[in-house]
Amino acid sequence: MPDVEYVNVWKYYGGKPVVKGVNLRVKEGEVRVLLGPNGSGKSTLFKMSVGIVKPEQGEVRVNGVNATKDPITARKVVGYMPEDPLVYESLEVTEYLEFILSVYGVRPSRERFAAVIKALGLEEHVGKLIGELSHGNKRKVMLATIMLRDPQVLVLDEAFSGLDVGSARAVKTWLRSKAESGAAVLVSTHILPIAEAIADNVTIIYEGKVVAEGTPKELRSLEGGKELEDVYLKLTGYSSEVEELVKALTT
Amino acid sequence: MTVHGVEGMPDSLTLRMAKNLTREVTYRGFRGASASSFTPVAKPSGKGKVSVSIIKSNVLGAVFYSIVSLSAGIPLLAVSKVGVPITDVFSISLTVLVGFAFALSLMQVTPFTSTFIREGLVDLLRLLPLTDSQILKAYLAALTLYWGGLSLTFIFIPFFIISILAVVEGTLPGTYLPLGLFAAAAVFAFSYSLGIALGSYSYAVRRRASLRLMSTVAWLLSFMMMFILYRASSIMAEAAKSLEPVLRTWGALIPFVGPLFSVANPALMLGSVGESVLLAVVAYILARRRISKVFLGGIEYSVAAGAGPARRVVVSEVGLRIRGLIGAMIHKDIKLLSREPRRLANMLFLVLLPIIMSVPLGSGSLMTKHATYLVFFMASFLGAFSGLASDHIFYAEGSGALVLYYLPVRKYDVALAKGLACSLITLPISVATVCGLTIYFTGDLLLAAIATVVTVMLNLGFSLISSAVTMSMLPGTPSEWSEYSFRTSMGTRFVRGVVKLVVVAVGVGVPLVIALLAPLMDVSPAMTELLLVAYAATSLLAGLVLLRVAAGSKPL
Repeated sequence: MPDVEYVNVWKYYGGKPVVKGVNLRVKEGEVRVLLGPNGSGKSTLFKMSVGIVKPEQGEVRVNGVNATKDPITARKVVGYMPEDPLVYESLEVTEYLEFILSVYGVRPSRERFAAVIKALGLEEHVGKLIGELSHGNKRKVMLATIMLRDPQVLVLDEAFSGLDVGSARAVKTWLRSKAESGAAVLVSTHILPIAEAIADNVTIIYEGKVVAEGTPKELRSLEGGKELEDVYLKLTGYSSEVEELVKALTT
Repeated sequence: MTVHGVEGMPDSLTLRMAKNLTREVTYRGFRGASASSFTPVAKPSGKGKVSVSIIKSNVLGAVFYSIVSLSAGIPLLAVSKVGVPITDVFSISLTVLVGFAFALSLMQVTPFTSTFIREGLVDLLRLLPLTDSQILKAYLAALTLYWGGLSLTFIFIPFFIISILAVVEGTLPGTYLPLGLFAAAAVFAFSYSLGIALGSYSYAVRRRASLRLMSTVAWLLSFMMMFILYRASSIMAEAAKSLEPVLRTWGALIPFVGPLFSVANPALMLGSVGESVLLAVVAYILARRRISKVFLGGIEYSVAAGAGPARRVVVSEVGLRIRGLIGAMIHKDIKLLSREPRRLANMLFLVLLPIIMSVPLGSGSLMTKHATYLVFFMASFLGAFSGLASDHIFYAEGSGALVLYYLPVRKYDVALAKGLACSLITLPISVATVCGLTIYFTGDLLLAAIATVVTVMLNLGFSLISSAVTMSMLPGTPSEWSEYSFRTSMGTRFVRGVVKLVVVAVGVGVPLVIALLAPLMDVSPAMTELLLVAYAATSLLAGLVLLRVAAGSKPL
């Protein structure tokens, strides 16, 4: 059964805790969006799902597999996309896809390949060296490898960063349909309208701790039905004082 | 957009920009494993800091080049003992120095410019309120002051000081001095301009196979030139004796130094000077155009750099080729390496070096007396030495190595693939050399077959050993892989150095001992063959065991 589970996870960098006892579960058929300011520990949590970062305390399980103890199995199960594009700049797009898919032993049909490339708007770029692509297109290439693999657990850090409107729509539709087909989806984004549009549940993390979670509607109700942005800002320490300071900068 | 004339700018600002630019090129070059391995710039420390200063960047090079220059110049003071006219000694020595200056300038300027362009550093400068000429000034200051450009002048300075002494003493005619200075100035103008122009084509080189091939050959020649450098004095002595008549006839055609060989014929000398000036001017114009277009043009680099439009691919017709895990990694490694001509040349040089050193053994009476022993020594030497080139397959990963940390691959898979990729690249050359030379010198097909087996087993064995050692020394956390990834601590550096030293010593030493002792101890050629085959098989086994132990089933 596809799922991702963080059980009382702690992580320290240089003696300072960056993740503080996080409990989080993404169930089969669920899209969970993780919101939080930069440096709140989101990427650290995401990396734990493939065993790149090991928690000092607690456990991260993917489909029941302990990702810290058996990262290779976890990596086979999870479709993970880091925040920064990690690619071979000297390979052509098709060469890179061939390499990644060979490692996973996935053999997509021509039709599936064409559909993924078209959905992400990469038709003009498949013959190029990845180093020649823009930041957004590099991320699309990484997304393409995951879409072609079609895993049942998705962990996408800043899933919509650098994507144009059309590609963002395609990714939103894909994530929702993946969840409807039973996949467990964990994504982070700073684009709150997208978060509201795709999330079954939202978790807000601040300074390494989960400060709120629930459906978008439940979270909005915390601030008397205001926008999700208002709730988010209140929970993550954005005060009216900051607002005044920013205004003062323009005068 | 054109390059404007250089406007006034506070020197301190130019220097500060140049310093930061050099630091950035150094950092990005090492991170991406694309910087020159022969640039006397401070390397990143264990903490990743890059310390740059004019003195640090030039002092080591200056000392090294001064030694070379002195060794070329000293014969001028002992000309009576050499038995060759001083003018010939001067001209031939300067020709060799001009050749070194040409190769070394290219090896400095091309990678700097290539990294500068490939990493889009000019974009950073163009965000600031700077004119084109200010950017250009900073780039040139970085190249000449902080990237070791100043040190190159020491290729000539000691030589000319000695030449002045010879002129003062009256042994060297005064005419040769200005002609020599002209040669030095012209070669720098030419090679610097050419290096800038070539470096600006880095995108095109990555994309076009023909340019990659040319670039690899050019780098290989440059590395060979470095090898020649170590043998400069003997080569110069040989050249003075055997090449003299040829140089006297055709020397005027040699760019930059041609005038030295045609002093007696003013018309020819003038033509020779004209040829050199023309070459320098053409290279300068080319560099200037490339600077205008690629550095300052604001055009997309891939287009501006002459790469042309990308390969057109009809998506619906693409059939992805899915391989096995190890096959896919080897294929990827070879692709990456083929797109880094300098790296590939570096690796091929490790294959060619033992060949260059072994071939002289085949000639003369040695081969007729001890054919079997020499063939097996050659096979072992080539097999073991070329197997050590697998490090370069690791370094070719550069920043792409981070990809591997997120994949479901074991250290063992990666190390095995790198070892096998190394053998796939180096074995064809080593086997062809061993087999070809054995048949050529002995005509014994069986001997050639056994020597081939030894070469193959040793190459595979040492590729795997080297790969396992490198894998075990990688940093513990996800990181880019380059020569400097391993410089995490003094301890690691020391251990790695000792391990490599032992591997090289065993790889080359054991066959050498067997080949040397066998005739002295009256061991029959058949027994020697058996011993060497057993040694080769042991090394292959050791490679497989070490790979399993050092890499194991742990994830990256």
